[in-house]
Amino acid sequence: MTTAELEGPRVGTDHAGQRAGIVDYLTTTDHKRIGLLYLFTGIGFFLISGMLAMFMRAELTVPGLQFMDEATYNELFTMHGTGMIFFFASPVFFGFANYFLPLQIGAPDVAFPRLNALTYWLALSGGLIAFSGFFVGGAASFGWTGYAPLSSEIFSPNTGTNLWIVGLIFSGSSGILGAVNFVATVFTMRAPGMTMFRLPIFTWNVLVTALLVMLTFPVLTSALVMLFLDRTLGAHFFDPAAGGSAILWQHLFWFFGHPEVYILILPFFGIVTEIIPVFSRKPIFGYRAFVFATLLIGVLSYSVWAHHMFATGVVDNLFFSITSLTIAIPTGVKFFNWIATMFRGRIRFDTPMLFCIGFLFMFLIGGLTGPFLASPAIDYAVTDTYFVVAHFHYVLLGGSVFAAFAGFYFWLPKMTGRRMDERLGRIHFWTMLIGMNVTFFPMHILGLDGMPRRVADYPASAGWTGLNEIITAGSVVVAFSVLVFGWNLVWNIFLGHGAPAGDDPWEGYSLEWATTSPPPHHNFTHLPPIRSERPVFDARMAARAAAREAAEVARGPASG
Amino acid sequence: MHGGRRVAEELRFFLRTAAYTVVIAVIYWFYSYETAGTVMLIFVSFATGIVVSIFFFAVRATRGQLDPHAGGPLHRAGMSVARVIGFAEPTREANEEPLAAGLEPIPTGSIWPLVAGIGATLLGLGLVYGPWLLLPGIAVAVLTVWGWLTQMDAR
Repeated sequence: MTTAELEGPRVGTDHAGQRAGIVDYLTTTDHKRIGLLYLFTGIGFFLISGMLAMFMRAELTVPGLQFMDEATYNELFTMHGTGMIFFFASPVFFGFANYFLPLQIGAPDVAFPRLNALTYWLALSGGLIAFSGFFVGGAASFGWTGYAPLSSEIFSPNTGTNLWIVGLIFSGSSGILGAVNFVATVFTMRAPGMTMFRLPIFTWNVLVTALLVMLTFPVLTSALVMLFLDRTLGAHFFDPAAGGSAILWQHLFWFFGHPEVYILILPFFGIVTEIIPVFSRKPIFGYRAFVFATLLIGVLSYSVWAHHMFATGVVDNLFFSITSLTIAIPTGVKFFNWIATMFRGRIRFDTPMLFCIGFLFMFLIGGLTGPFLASPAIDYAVTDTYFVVAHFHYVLLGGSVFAAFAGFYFWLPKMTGRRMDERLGRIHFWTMLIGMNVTFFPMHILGLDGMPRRVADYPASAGWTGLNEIITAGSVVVAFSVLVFGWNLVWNIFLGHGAPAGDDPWEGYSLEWATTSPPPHHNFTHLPPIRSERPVFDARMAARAAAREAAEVARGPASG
Repeated sequence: MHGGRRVAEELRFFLRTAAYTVVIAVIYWFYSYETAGTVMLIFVSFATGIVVSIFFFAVRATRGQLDPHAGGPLHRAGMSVARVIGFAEPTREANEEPLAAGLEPIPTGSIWPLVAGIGATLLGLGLVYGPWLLLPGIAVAVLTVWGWLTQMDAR
């Protein structure tokens, strides 16, 4: 049965069009439903964390305190960062990986389906616990990095801080279990013929990301347990007065924290790498180079953590500067390959591709300011200023979020059987592109001019008011673009007004396009032969060749 | 393939990380004499080393004995490095099939992951708010272990 034959709303339905009830979702162990739960949970936290950002921008538009005091502002930027990183970007990665990794390798599910469901419930619970601090006298307020001694019992005695710690321990535990599941799935459940070097690039990137999660989330989780012990049982891991070390927290946090940046970007590199070849109608340029660049970024990321600590003066700047700059090489390889893939391709500028092209430009800007910050001399000048804020928002909003939206437009038809509206998609893209540049580009200038991050107020005499007004206006445009996406999602997907997508609306290459939209419970009724990294493309070409041959045979006697 | 043992890609995936972090841990220690970072790098190489050992046996069990080696010791050492880094190709048969021998039945649904999540939430909140939440959390955790294992047995 194809989706074209089905009527009505499709989100939450199985392949036969039956709507799944709440109980079905509460008890599900199906990787696709768990993937959807992750994705919509991620969108939920994106909206909450985005609203916190809008409150911050409202406060910063002009000098003086208009809407809140400094303490509230501290809570807002802490929970904005925490929400976006741990409870939006990570769940969206886990959502896409859950849904598409088994499909792309031709498997019926993940290796440990019940464990998979548990990881979701832990992640959701972690987010709710961390954000519940707002309702019990104030959320955590020391920045998403939780630096000691700010996060100590003395400086942050509130319950919200303990909830933040427990929430992040849940998120970390969930991540570790999920990563083990992904690695086991790729290693043990590939369809016959799906060699490691025929895996789609998205799956490769999820695999490398899972390795990073497995090895760095335990460090974060352990550090959080140590912090919790410091706060509740009188331990002194991070208390210099009692023989502990505040710098130790930074080492532990950033040993997780920098690979975390790659955890938040590698899967999205994977999404972009799935989309660009399909919409350029060419195979990916340099498949193996891509895989090895991803692997190289993965291993190098273990040795760069202390570039976040240059300004402490107690780390070896040269070592970390060299290792950090080295990462530009494999990232450059990826950029070259994306551009080479598009070169002389017959490019279709549908919304997923527009977001990918936007990603290339935005991530490039964020990527180029990376080597600046990896140079200690420059880092000393701009650390803890808006230059850093601009850098990581170009990387995470211009990179991860643009790629995530590309993924939504690309894969929602497969997940739901309905297409998003193309016109609304374009409006979403252009408003978001313009809005984010108006918002974040001036932050470079503010940072170079010395405006510190994480402040609720600034002096009118500093000359920063004009740029801050522009930035707030830009953030309103970004918020509008998200509303456009929301309307597109609700109208066309939830309410079912979108055109039927069919099984393969984009003429895709990997195995998810060989099954129905949405796929049946066990994913495939049959699999095409897997003899390259583009099995669906191969099957399509073989079918067309067979059809041509049959037509020629049929024409043969008549013309002869 | 140029002789020597075939190393499955699954093994190499972890081996590369282990090898890199051992090397970088040694360099980092003698360059900085900083303890925390060195310990964490050694943790990464140790953790990946454990996974490599497990996968080594898994690969052998699933794909039979790995190839006999060929060439002199230097050649073999060079090839080993090349294979770990990824320049030498594993053969098709070393890479073709996944490690698992066959598929296990897949559960169609279970309430226990949700119950486990509720139990964990109670335990976590109990750590913050006190035993009045901790104790129900422990009860739910015990119930989860019973339910989960019973369901697995029944299958």
